[in-house]
Amino acid sequence: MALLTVENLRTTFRTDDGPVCAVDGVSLTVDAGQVLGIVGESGCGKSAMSLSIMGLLPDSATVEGSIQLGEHQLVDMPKNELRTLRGSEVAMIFQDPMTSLNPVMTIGWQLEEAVRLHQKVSKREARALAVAGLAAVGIPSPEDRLKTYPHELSGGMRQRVMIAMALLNRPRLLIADEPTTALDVTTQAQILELMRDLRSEVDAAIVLITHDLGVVAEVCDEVAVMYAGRIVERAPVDELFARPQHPYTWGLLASLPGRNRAGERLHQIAGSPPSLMNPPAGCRFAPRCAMAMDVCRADPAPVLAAVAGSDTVVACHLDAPTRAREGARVASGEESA
Amino acid sequence: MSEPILTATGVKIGFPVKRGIVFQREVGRVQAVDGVDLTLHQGETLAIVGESGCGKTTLARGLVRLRDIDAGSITYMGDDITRRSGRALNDFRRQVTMIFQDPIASLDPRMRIGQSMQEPLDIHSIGTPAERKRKVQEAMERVGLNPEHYNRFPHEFSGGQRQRIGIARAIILEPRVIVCDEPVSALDVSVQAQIVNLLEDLQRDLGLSYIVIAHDLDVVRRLADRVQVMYLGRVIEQGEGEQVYNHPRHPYSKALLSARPIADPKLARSRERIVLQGDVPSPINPPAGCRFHPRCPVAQASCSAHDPQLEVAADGHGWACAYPLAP
Amino acid sequence: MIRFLIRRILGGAFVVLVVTLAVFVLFGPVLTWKSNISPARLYAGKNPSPQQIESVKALLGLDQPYYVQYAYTLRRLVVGPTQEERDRVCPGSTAAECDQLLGRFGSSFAKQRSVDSLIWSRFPVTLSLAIVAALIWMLISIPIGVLSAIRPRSLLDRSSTVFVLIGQSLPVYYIGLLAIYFLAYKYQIFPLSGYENFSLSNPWPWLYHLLLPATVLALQFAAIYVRITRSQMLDTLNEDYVRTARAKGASESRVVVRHALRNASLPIVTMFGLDLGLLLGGAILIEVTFGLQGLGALAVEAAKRLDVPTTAGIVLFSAILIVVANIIVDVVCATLDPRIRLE
Repeated sequence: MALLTVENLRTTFRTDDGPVCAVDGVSLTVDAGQVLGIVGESGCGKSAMSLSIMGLLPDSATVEGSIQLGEHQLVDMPKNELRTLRGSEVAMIFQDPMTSLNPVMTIGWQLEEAVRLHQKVSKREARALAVAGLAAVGIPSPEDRLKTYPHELSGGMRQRVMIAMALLNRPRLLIADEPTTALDVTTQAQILELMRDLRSEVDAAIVLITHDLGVVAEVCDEVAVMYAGRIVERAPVDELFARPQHPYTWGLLASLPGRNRAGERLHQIAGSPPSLMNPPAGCRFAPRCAMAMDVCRADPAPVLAAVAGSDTVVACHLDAPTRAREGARVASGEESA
Repeated sequence: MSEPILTATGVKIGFPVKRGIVFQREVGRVQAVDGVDLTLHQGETLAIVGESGCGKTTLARGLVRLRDIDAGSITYMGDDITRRSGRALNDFRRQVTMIFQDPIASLDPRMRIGQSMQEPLDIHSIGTPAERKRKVQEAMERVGLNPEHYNRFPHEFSGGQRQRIGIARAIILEPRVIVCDEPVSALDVSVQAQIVNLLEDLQRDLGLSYIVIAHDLDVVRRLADRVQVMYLGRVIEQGEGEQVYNHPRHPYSKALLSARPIADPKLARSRERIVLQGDVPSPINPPAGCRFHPRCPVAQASCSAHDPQLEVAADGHGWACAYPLAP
Repeated sequence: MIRFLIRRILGGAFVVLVVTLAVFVLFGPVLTWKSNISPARLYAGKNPSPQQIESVKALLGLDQPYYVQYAYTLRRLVVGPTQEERDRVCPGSTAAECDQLLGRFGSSFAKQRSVDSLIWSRFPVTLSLAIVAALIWMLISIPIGVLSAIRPRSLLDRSSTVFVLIGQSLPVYYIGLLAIYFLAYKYQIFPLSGYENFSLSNPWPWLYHLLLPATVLALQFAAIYVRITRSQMLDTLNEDYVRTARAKGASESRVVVRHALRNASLPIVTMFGLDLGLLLGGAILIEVTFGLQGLGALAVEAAKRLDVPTTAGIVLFSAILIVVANIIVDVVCATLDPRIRLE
């Protein structure tokens, strides 16, 4: 049963230079207990999408479409109602733990605030919940930690605190926006292990936003690849890596430095992502796609369609055999076109 | 192996710790770099890897004399440049340049990029103004920028392009050595690939030698001939890329390699992962004995008492561990 | 925190020491050397003879070498006049009577009063003016600044920018005189001038007389504080931890007040402490415009009649107030932001 169903989400920002459509018709679903990874590079709209779900966009942004979280429809929900859901039904953790915690308040104060904003409990009960929350994310001596300030903790600890804070009210949906990008590699491994453990303990649906395909492979059940505000491919994680279908996905996989053998040039995707102010007509990846055809450059853009014999959907005009062939080449690590 | 061009011996760099109510006295030092040797040969790429707090960035700054070193010596082309200053140091600066991590922060936002790239030529008074401009435009072409954008400002470029500007600025003096401090960390994956390719091309075309500071082991594996792994100010393992990557002997190196997320879900599920306990320590209070022992998955009792030194075998592979892992 | 406080107090004491030296040198040897104003000559009356000057010098203790004079001045500042000094300056009087003439800050021979008593008689006026003005400007600026930041480019924001510009551009005596003319003379809403002492049982006359001058004074500062509050809040509201607070489901008012304002307030608190310290030394223009007998007016009068001890005393007094204000500001900032305590 899908916990989160997003249909045709379109988020537009009003800027001085004109409207920018950061999320252009995105649809996805996440089940309880499942981890959906959203992969894309900077400017692809993944953060804008997560902020749209949370209702954390500035007033200059408009959201259209449907975001169904359980029984709640989040688009056009009155702000007050949305606020009661934020932090209790749906929680979010952010990228940079150094700056995401209030530097002048103790950890305990911030954790207890998270509890008392949504639960009617006494101060002592809130403190007990905070201690339990810290213990659940593997922080030693949690009672003592309550009195510390963020700057007294390391990056890994701070991110654990953020995760604990998000889970305090047992949200049904957890959105993690690049949770390990700002951390050291060994700390990243710890946090990823924590997230894997939490996945089995907590029944929430998790949306993990990242640009790191390695993180996706380690934690996610399903993956959606985003490019220029649209989802171009969505697949169960094994299928995405074994039989990738979209040229952008091929590019991402092939560019991984670990993939290329020494001595060969690293595969690079030519050009750079399009400006969302004036996106190209048709398929937005066409200008950079080595296999683009004329139909790709004209409207309407390709829509997500199922790939026969699999759970993958892809938005691409290339025919299935070509995609299968190229996908296999990339997956096996050979130099792709 | 070609001849060594840049060597550092016993380099120590520290920051003072001050205490006192009225007058601050220096009561100790935080040794960010605590006795590091390195040798860079002509035409090779030496990578220094480690996590935050290991001292690699401080070491890089020390090597190019952006900061003074407390002890040890740095030799370039046979000359000791540890204490040089002024004119004599400028000579060194022409030959050893640096690329920085953050392409946004390392370019003056109020200076046109042409000016930024020309500045090294201006400082060293090379050529006439017309010749300098021409050199800048040549450099721009070499790194894949459009020379007509000479008069634009940094904010008009993407992250990858800004890094190219930084690279152009580094090669404009025709140096022999470039120290790259996390050259691709702040970039998207597809852009990383472009920059790595560019760095490789430049090395081949211009005969450069690189010292690359990085924490991304996959990027390092591509670029580096030899690798040195740092932890809390010391080199704990060094060797040829293949030696360190395929046969790590120090438990930390192995943990570092194991910590990388693998872009292969089947492998990720099935492999044995080493997850270290505890945080990356800060050099303010290093542990007694072997500095890694509190987090080491295979530490023995004696590791808390004895501080192992780096021992290098004949094949160039060295490690600082009393109980190294099996090869 | 205690160590932080001790360090600040010791630092402050050191600064005060340096100020006493500077004041002594500037109002003593430098003044005499540069402008031929010697306290002895002034005190000695019209056309004094050299012997009279010498005897006055001995009376005032000015025949000693400078470092000795400085040492005596310093001692007198800290522990009060010694018996020897009392005997010299007011022979035959009791200690209580002599204190009327000679205090820690010295004696104003022109007025035949101790500088201390002069300062203390005028200080309540300046203090009242400063406190009421500070309350007014903070109560105006902080809310306007915060609201402007929450809704940038709104009508409120743009009109407050205009208000700021006017407040900073028009001189205080201009606005003051306009205010007096319209509000006090023509329409008689406020009294023309004067000061009523503060009494706990009935503070209204005190407030009523202070309202006009305090408001005019406050307008100048309000301008700056609206600007700084607005810009600080704008920066803070964009910080990541504010986003986290919103993500937790905190209401916007809670986010603004509990999270953003506290972080934004540091530079505002710092400025406030310094401005208040400065004001306590006397808001000269306001006091003169409104005819208030405060420290600023006293300083002007003393300077005009070449009353060196009084002028020097006021300078020193103000300096001490500013140092104290600085220390208090530092402690408040350290309370607000725990990272500061590490310094």
